[in-house]
Amino acid sequence: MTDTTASGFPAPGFPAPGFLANARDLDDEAIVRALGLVLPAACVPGVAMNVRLLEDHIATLRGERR
Amino acid sequence: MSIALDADAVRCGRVKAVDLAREAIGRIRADPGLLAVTRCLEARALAEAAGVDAQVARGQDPGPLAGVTYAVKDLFDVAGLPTTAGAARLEHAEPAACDAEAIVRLRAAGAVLVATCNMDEFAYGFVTDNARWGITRNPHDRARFAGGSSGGSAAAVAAGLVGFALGSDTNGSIRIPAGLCGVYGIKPTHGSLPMGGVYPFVHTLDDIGAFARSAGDLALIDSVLRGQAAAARPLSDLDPAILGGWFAQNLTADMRDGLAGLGPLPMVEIEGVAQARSAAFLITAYEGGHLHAAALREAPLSYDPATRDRLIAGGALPDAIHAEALAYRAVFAERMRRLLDRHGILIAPVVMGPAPQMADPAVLIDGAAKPARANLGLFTQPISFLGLPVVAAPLAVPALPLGVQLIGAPGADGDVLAFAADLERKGLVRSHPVAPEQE
Repeated sequence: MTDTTASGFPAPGFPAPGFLANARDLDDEAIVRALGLVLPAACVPGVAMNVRLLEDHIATLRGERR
Repeated sequence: MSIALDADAVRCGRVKAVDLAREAIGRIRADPGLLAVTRCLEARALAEAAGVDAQVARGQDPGPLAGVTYAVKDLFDVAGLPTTAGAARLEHAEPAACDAEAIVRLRAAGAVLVATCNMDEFAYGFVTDNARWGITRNPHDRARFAGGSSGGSAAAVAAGLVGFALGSDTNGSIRIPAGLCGVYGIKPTHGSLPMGGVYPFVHTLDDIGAFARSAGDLALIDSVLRGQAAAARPLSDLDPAILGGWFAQNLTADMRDGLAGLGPLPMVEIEGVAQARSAAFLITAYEGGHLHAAALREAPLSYDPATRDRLIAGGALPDAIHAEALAYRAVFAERMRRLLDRHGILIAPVVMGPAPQMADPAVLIDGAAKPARANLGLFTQPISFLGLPVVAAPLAVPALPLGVQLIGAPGADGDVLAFAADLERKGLVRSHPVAPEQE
């Protein structure tokens, strides 16, 4: 987990609430539903893939993943 | 020949600007397969060039870029034309009422605009794979990407179509195509060059800059855009070092050899680069996504799917994640400041190796193949994240181009330009121009 003392990060009040921390465990439709998005079917797989990618980057930012 | 010599020839009447413009238009029309240019502005170019020649005939000085031809990434406003930002959905948008401020400054210096250039849609990509205008080819090997998102601008300069070009850089979009096409490119200190009339992507990170075939050309263009030459410290004060750690991993053997060829330099490391790259990725997704949110709700299928799905996901990010990423920037900036206090120039690869093949659009990161479109910025994103000035310079290697980033402290644009010129004088970097193909 992130060391909050050595680096001064995260700042007070962070980490923020998760985006969709369990995105890796959900199927594409469930991700889109969980975010409250109403999308054409053609967008669902790509959006879900990108949500998973963003969750990876959030985890990296917080020092939870290299 | 340098663009300064071209301009001198025009200023003293030995060469007509109109002839230079006609030659550039001829080169562009002869090589449509490069897919670097989206619109050839023949009427405008000939009118601007005639104006330059008329000034010379009247005994007036048209400026330091007299008659020099150039092109702009298709996100700069050009009066009378839609600014497409590489998007088919904007191809028939309302035309721009006036030129972008950068174009105004270049015109006042005598430069002649001849074309707009291809890019990734809305500048969201690193390869210039455009659903409407095609994939810009790398002039050195047309089976390879030119890099992006300003790939059309870099390819046009590398192929010798124009004297120089303008692009924009949010996460590496000038440095990456410059490196892969074997030309020079500059991403200036954030906010130091005029952004008026430039289609936005990520307000926190967007900058404009130039591509050129020599370090001297790059400095000349930068000085016109900036309004004055950027001040530089003596080279002896710069004490350059190579960035190791994150920046020494995932390199091809060619890139490792190329960096070693710069000489015996100290290697330094900075903590937290992976976090910095992820923070840049999240800021980009959030700001880009929110910028396009209304249009995506209204007409999502009017976007290139590869851009659309990234923007929709980014637009769903909460404000708090954006704030968290910005908070990390302050932490990483302080670490970098301490490093740049000791070493006035830090050197890092632009990308891991040469341009990826279009038939295999992937790069190897920690042994796993990742899409090039989203991952070529591995070494550029953590740097532009801080708004630092960087010159991308082409290593003097015999094979496919390889670029290095010459990184300075905020405001030290003159230092990175002077350092690039010094490396060029020593024969350690040089552009890789190629003759345009005839079709």
